[in-house]
Amino acid sequence: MIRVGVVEDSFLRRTDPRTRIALALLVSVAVMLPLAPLAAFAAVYVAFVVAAGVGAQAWEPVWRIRRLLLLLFVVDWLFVGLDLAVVVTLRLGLLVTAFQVVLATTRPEELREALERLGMPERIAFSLSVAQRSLGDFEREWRRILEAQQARGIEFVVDGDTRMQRLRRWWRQSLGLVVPAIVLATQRAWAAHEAAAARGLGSAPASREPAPLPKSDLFLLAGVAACFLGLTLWR
Amino acid sequence: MKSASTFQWLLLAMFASLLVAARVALHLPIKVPGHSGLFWMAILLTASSVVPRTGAATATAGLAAILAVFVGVGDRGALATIAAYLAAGAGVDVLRTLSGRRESAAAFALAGLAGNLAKLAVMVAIEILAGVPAGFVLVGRVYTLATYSLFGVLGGMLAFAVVRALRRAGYFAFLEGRR
Repeated sequence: MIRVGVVEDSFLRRTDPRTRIALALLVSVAVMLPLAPLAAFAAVYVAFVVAAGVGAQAWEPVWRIRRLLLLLFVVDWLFVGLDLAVVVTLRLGLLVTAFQVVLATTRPEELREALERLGMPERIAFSLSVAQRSLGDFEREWRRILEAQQARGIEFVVDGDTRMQRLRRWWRQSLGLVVPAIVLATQRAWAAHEAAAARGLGSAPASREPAPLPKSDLFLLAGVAACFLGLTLWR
Repeated sequence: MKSASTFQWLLLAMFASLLVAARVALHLPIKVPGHSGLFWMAILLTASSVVPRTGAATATAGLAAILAVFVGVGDRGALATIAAYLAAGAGVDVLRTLSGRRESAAAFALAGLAGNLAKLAVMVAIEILAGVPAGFVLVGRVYTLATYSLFGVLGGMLAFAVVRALRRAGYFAFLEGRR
């Protein structure tokens, strides 16, 4: 199911979304550190995530790829060594959780505002927000089209089919699935365009002003950057 | 894509939304790596035909990546999701441009193949960058390479069939008056 909702009581909610994006990018870059500083960084990051109240959200993607992580850990350990096994596991773990801090604390409309403030043109940001609002509807529509096909006796799976028969059946039915979805998406795009034109989208200058980051955010970013720099210089 | 109209951006954004919703809603019963490429490539290639501009597929994929990241679709983290989606879009765009935007089953199949393989290439690159020995990654991906290729080609051919069906139904004529 499509996820909604953010952790309202996290202290990160009081920061600018751009600060959270910058933090996530910093974490993504930090995965290139060697073992000792990487382990230290991971420990600090885990403490930070827990303090921010988003530990469960950060853990979720790691749990989702637990089998891959375990397999890589074992294979790397057996064929290369424990150091590499730990480094690879930490890097992949950090990479999959890097943006969870942003996701768990930022509403989609806040992200859109942040992207606009970072220079995304107004009409692209508008299109993105319309698309985001349509996600749930499209999810339901895909299911409805599938159900309609099944009601007409068209099945994607028939018990006893071999993999090849399933593939053939799947291919045949896919056309009937995609064409109505494309038409529906076009109708929605046109309706959104008409509504936006009626409200004068594009006729007024962009409403988002390039607001500077609050001082507290700058301190937070500077602290994390200093920590990262210290770890980079650590040999 | 700078000169694209608001309606064209809305179309691409809606196709992006369709892509992400398909990832969530369409759990089809084939447990083969890369099978999502069938709908992926079909929608990306249809988007690049509906909005015939260089970069249309990449723009659709980029918008889909932002949406996917925000609804928690994609199991390798935000950066990997964005990179993989963009690579798929770029692969489609490059092949569409090289083929002169020709509308033939072969051109679409090749573009689908390029898009799905570009997505796989990014995932492999991320694993190698993360430090997984390249030999392990490449050996472990031989089967995956074959299935990604298959579904990329099928996705391209599906897109060709979709575009042809839309053309016959007068969809492109409908769009002409609304650009």
